Amino acid sequence: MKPSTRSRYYGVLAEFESPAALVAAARATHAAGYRKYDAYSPFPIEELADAMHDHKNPIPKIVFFAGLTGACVGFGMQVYANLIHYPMNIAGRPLYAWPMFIPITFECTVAFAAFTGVLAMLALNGLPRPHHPLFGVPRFSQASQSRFFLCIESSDPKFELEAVHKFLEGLKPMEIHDVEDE
Amino acid sequence: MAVSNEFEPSVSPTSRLPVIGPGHTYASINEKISAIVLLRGTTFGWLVGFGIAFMIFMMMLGSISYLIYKGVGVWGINNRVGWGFDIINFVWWIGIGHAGTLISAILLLLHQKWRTSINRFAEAMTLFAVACAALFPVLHLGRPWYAYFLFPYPNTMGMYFPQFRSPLEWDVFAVSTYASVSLVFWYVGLIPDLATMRDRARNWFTKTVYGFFSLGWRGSARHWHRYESIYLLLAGLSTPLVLSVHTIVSFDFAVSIIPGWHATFFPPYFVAGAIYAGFAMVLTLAIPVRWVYGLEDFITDKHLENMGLITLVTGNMVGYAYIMELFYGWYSANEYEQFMVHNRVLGPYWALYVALIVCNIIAPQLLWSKRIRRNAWWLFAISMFVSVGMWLERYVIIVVSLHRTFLPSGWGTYAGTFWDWTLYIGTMGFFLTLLFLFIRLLPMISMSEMQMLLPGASGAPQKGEAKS
Amino acid sequence: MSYDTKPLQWDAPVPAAILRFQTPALVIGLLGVILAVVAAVLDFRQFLHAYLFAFTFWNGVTLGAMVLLMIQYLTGGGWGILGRRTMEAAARNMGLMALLFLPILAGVLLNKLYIWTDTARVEADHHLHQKATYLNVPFFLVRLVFYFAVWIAWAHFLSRWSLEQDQSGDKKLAQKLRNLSGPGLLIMAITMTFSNIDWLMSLEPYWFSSMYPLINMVGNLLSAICVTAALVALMADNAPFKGLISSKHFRDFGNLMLAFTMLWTYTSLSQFLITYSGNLPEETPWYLNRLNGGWGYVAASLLVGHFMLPFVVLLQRQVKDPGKPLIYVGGFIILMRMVDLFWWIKPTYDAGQGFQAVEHLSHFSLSWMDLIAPLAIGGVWVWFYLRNLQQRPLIPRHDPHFKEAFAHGGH
Repeated sequence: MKPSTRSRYYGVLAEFESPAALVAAARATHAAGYRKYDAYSPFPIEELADAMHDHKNPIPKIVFFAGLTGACVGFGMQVYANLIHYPMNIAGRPLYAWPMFIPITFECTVAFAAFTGVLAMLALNGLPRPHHPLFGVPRFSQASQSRFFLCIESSDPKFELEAVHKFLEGLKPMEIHDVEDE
Repeated sequence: MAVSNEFEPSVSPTSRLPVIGPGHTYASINEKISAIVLLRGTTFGWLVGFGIAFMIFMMMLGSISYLIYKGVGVWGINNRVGWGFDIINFVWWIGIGHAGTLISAILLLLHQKWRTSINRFAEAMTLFAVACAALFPVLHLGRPWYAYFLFPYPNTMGMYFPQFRSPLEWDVFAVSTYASVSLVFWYVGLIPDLATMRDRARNWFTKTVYGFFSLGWRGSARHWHRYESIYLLLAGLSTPLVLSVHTIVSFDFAVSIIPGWHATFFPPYFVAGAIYAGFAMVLTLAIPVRWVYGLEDFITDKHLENMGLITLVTGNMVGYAYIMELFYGWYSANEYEQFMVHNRVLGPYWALYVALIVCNIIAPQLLWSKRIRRNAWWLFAISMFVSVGMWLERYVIIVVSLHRTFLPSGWGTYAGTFWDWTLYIGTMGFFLTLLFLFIRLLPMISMSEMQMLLPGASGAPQKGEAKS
Repeated sequence: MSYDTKPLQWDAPVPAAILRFQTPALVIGLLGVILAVVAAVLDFRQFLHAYLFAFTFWNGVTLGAMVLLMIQYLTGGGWGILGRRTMEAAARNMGLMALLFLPILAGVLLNKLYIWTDTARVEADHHLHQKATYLNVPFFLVRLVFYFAVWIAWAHFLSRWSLEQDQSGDKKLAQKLRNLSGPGLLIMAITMTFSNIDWLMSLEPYWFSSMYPLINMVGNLLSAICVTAALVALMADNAPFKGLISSKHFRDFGNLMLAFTMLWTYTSLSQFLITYSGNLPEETPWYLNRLNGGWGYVAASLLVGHFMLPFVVLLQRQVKDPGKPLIYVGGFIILMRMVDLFWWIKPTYDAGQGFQAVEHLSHFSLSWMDLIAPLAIGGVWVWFYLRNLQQRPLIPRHDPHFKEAFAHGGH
């Protein structure tokens, strides 16, 4: 494919047929020194994270601390309501009936952890983002269906159109597409 | 896979049924599942089914309208039995919902690959069942427009907080957390498939709608990494959550001192019953759906057999609870407890108790037979029995325990009225209406997860495929 | 990925790292038995409470191992194959447990342990009189024989068919074992429930709780999985485990420990919450006796040591994946299991055995017998356990799921 004459690119996209080919390509790309690149697939591929050296994942920590916050908020709310805000004798039970506070504390823990976790996932992924330069490539619609893509982005310091083309061709993809920035 | 001859097991693995039919590729999975929504169009059969469900749903709205116009007096509840159909139906529906979470969360954590093809469907069932369940306690309030009093909020009355020491308030937190976390779990699972639908849609409108809800998902490996992490964590959180919901439902009864309600083993007993009813409902729905839409490749006989086995196990747990309930009633040496047991088995509602035993304990014993477990029609019939049986169980626990308590002068009877029945049956229409819309509008099997079941999906090199 | 392709040493002996415990166990056991006899002579009633507590724990490990064996036959999975022989070794101690029940039987016959064996008292007490249809010595003996007959029978066939499978590789045996396990789980649930009612709940015959046998069952499973996981982890560096076992299997063991820890918490907390809020005079003394007079500290230690610590620790993959830390976590949980059972049983010693009056509340006490009894039974149990372990290859090579479970380091 002839490189486009436009000056600004988002990156160069290579299309592969199988998950194994994509994993091998990602390994090679990382080994070649590229860092701003990404792989696209219709389903998560177990070996990709390893191939791309993508090990950072703050989500479990975020979920843990959100859950802890939820527990404190839930328990604190009930203690405040029953002991400080409006102490009321119900069936002669103690005001600080801590066993009775456990269920709501638990529910608050789960609710805080779950919602914070999902929001954190979306935020870290930069979603929702309805449009993206990659959607400009017609073949990219296959990335959610049955093809596997690798894109080396122009923000990579090593990015040079010709060199990247040459490198990707060496990986024997099915096709190579230029991704224009918009 | 390399197992050297030295220790090759001489016993071949027992004939295990596959979780996905033969000959599928990444593309064929997408095509087959998305075609149900995108290409099949609105068929006559769907319209008839939807139409009937919608009419029953309308009956529910009519029943609710009359209820709000006249008040809860139109129901059969009275001074003896203040919790009638409403709480029976609430517990019944919410129990049914639990199988969805169990399939999507617990089986995911247990690496049970067969869950993949039924989890989306089962989760949808959870959401719709919880929606039906939530209607009942809210309507039972009498003035449902004040339902927001149940939540803590700053107000002019000076009491910002509800009564946190009441299990009914725990229900509010449990059910609202459960409904919203289940919705989020379901939606997160849908995002990649919505992107597939977006990319496969053939007209602008469909593309835009799916595109909007797919949040611009593009299948980036870095995104998948975080996505999988939160999906597993949501499964980990949902597992204790689903147990807590039915536990708290059981606390509604168990923290009181009514004989027949106050039993310390109510939490696991209720959880087992909920899973039991839920799997029966999944079978009831999955068997016709796989037949109508030709999904035998994805919902295989192995799925049916496994669900049959879980039904058998939980059915026997429930059976254990029935037996022990009778034993402890006698062992307590407390005259009220002993009377409760006597009244339950031999009192005016004895016929319901017998029906309950037949439906919930005797019928599922057929599942010990492998032949029956692998026969869709037998499973369908047994699951119907279980659904009825679990409704009867709640009827027996609630009505029969309440109608004769400590003071004989306060004894009475209870029966549902026309408005109780129309509301109950109406919620089934509501449930089915939502289910028909779901089948028509969303991929009912997770495409991305089904693709992961194919060999080579992990990215490891396959036989005959050179490492490039 | 796939495991080591070097041939496995199927008949590798039990590693020396394990066997070095055998002789000390026997010495401790025999010394303990001698001291236990001394204890029984000095104060039979005090001794019986200590002995019942120790017996309940070790019998629980044995029963829990049997239940786990049946579960793994039905569900499959690498952990079941790796732990099968250690669980079998425990289950084969069932006959020993029947023998070790004799002191408790003496306690029943001599009217030293349970108040319902005192006929004069039962006659005078309306409540006990009503229960006498169930709580009487002859019927107790009938049930006792039934429990052990069922347990020994199931342990026998579980063990025998597994050995036959190992020797002949007969394909039908896997199905036979599954057919034994399905109904077996039902039978175990019933017998474990009623034996719990007979031996523990009837210590305080005015009290009853339908959750109590379930907590006991979950506790038994927890004890058994901790023993199994710890032992497998101890042997992991030696043939035939080396190369076969991977971090995924350890994670499964760790997750099972976590699951049973959470279930124990769930059942214990539910019983407490329902009793607390019901606030009925026949139920609350059980907790009053166990939360006052020093026992509250024991209860708090259970909350921390039986739930919080294991829960937080077992959530970490760094603990589960290497396997070795499971030895220490398992050992700690086993210790807490003993504390839990001690907290259940010892307060009945001086709590007036279920008198409802508050002035009879129990006070914390720890006698030397409470330390000797678990060591005595434990020493003997461990000696037989290690002897059983040496009699068979450590891996059931002819399990039909073997290939499936270990290809790709799978589950």
